[in-house]
Amino acid sequence: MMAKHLYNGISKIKSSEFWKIIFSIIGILIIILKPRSLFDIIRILLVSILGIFSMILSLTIWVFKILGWGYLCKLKIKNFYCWTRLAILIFPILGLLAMIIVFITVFLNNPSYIYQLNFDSNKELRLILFFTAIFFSVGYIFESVAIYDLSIVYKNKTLKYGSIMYLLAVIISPIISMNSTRNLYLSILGNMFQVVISLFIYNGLSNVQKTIIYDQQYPRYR
Amino acid sequence: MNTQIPYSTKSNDRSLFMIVALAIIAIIIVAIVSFIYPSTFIGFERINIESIGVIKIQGALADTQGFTILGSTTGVQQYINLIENAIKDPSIKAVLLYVNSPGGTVSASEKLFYEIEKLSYKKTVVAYVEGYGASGAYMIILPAKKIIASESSLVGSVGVYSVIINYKGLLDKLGIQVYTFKSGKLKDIGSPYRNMTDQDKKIYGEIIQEFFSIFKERVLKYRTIIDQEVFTGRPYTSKQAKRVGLIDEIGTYDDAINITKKLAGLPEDAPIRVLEPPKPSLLDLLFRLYIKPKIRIVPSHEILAMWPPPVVEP
Repeated sequence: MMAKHLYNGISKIKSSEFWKIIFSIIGILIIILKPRSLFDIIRILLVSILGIFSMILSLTIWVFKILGWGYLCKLKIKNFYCWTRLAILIFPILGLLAMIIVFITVFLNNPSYIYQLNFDSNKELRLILFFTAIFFSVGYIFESVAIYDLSIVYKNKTLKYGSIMYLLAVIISPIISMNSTRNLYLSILGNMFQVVISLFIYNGLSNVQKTIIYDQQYPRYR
Repeated sequence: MNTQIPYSTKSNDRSLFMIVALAIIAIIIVAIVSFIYPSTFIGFERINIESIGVIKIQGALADTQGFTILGSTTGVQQYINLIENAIKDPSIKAVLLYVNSPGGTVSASEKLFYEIEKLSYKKTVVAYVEGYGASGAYMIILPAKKIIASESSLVGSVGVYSVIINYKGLLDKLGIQVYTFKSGKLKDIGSPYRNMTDQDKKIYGEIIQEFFSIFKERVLKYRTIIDQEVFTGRPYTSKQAKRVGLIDEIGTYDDAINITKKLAGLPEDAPIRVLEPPKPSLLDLLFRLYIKPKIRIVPSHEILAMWPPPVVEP
């Protein structure tokens, strides 16, 4: 039973990393295909479809993560995995709520802001990004540290490097999210970096899965 | 093959939480820095190779972007922003101003002139005229180290003017009476609803002369003019402009690029970066386009440094 949960957990986290790769590639495509005017119908359509697809993907990734860490939590081998699941579950919701609350507050204070949605010059809107970036990141910090822990347990170097890069990427993510509206190259770079990280983690988790198959399972405690 | 690793759950959990706490502190610091100093990290997109920045100045120059009595106008603020970015960017060694503009309002042209003057103190500035480089558009490029124009460009038209349309006769014919209550007899000077008095005309003449003398001083400060006809306000072809001292060279865009590189001491293969205003985001496109063009109340006349004069298209 333990091995099954472990295998399923790793498998779900691995799936989330796979969809993350697709998500990042779509992110790059959206930036490249960004319409230049309202009359650029084909691009608007393409970007809208890709946008909806990426929204569905982000939900899928989120669900896979929750399921994956949920399985590892069920093993009762380490409390941290349960905290990771909780953080992944709660912080994105908090981030979304913060975004909605700040947006509504800003809009109620000055409805004309709806016409001035400029994230570069508008401090209130930058504040939305600030809170969102912080809240969204906390869950990912937990996840990166948990993956790092798995890499130590299974002595997997690829997973270790992937988790360290993941943690670094999360720490610098506010720079990207707060500058992404005017700095498209930075956004593309961020997405490309995300692809590399996910590849590392995906590969590392595959190796961990093999180890589980060969009955190594989760190393025992002293 | 059952590997056993010495492992203590509690102490390991504690150290993992420590890492998380440290990472959260780090991310808050990064987020605060990004929030307070948004420009700190812009340098990421810049290629740190010495290059030429090209700024394209096109269309009638006005203080605001939109549709005014000058027709469709370009707000000078977007050029000012680009120039300020070029000043701040250490990788831009020289700036080539690509100009195709008939000029515009005196105030807008002056704003841009000061900004380009500021730029010329910090970087090598060269101007290239293709099409029109007349009046206010000529004024703005005066601080450039060299002014180059394509063979069939029109340059010059140094001067200012104002057109006042008077509807008094038409209103009288239609039997419409306009009452104006004013604090002083000259408060509504230039009103299209009453005839101009001799005093009004004298005052207008003085304003135009004053603005013209400022323009003339700027031309004389930066150029060696060998024919006083320049100050009659006439436009010149590139050949004529070179002869009277309004421009330095006649050439192509590539010539202008090469001259700029040479003046800035840059190698022949130095990259060229066209500096453009930021593209509108999806949100801008969705929300802003609907409120444009903005309807604005414009003065019935403006002091113009523009040639050819604007016409209201039907």
